[in-house]
Amino acid sequence: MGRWPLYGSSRFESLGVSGSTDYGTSFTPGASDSKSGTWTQIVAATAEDASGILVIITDAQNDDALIDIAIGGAGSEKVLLSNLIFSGRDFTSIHYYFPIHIPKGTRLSVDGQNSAAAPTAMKCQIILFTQGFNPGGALGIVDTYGANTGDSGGTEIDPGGTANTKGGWTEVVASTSRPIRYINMAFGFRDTFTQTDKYYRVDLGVGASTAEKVIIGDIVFVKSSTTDIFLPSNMGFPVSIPSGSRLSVNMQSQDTDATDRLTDVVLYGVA
Amino acid sequence: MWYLFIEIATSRLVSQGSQPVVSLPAGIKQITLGSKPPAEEMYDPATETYIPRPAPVWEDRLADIEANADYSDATQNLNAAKKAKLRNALLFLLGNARYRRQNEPVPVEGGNP
Repeated sequence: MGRWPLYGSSRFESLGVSGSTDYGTSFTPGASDSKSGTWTQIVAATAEDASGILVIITDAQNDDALIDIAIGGAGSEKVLLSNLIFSGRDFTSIHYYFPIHIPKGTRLSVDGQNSAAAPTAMKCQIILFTQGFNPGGALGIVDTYGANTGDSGGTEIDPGGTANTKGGWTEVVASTSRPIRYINMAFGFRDTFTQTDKYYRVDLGVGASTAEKVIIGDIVFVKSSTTDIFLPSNMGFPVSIPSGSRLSVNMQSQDTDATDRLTDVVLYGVA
Repeated sequence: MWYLFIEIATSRLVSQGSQPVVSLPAGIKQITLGSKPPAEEMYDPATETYIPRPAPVWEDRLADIEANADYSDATQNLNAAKKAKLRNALLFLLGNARYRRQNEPVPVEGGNP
């Protein structure tokens, strides 16, 4: 268990929100699937060593987006979290958690790209959790697999035209860069905002084609006609996947519509 | 290159990826494509190839309303100008919800029931 007692050493930093009417630092992503190139500072210097980061992105329009979080001084930003997929409708908030170490005194900033031709401002809040939050200690690097910067989405997964039947494994990455100790699966809806209430089940597999081994299987997700987003939008798991591994996803859905059933998937491997 | 792995007995797509497999499991065959199929195409078991994904079919909720028996009864005696005004008011109210997919319910969802 984590050593993050309620009293004493447990601390968190809420960054990007100030005042009772503030719900995040506004930033305007780049239009038409291109990064803006302008980093918006979330914090000039973090106050504590952190062992976990929670990134909260909100948006008020229908679009797909990919969001980057960077560390480093102005003009010297280095991407820490790359291409966090955001697939939202009207008023959406998506949360990403990664168990990584961020040293005290770090400057954090945000940039992104949006599928819209004239995107409105999005908002970003970051919560940092201090040392002791993670039972196994903080990890270091997050690699993004399967993001598609061409449409601000991810790897297309087709659950197939037969309801409630897995559509076949689709490769997300042929060979991972580093060993993965924590993985986050995130989903998007490919700018399709006319969804109906449907169930999905998803498998994450490791291994060569036709020899995929399910490491996390039959996780139930839903999509809602009211929100038009996957619920939940992403989910993280501790894993142990060697570097050089092929990762793939298999999915089934109640939805057989050739366009609506499609999802985007992006995987974030934490080493 | 992109590779499809298909169950011989059923033509079901079992797996797809960027790497070939040297020793295929029994009952599976491998098809090589020049590149990963685009999102606009989908796998067709009947032909064991990728075919164009059918375009989405949209229905017009304005047409749904105009086909409603109560609406027809209430508006049958309106002149063309008044029908046009009513139509404009309905379009204003429908907003972005004017068009729905075929399997979406006709009533606009959301709000407090």
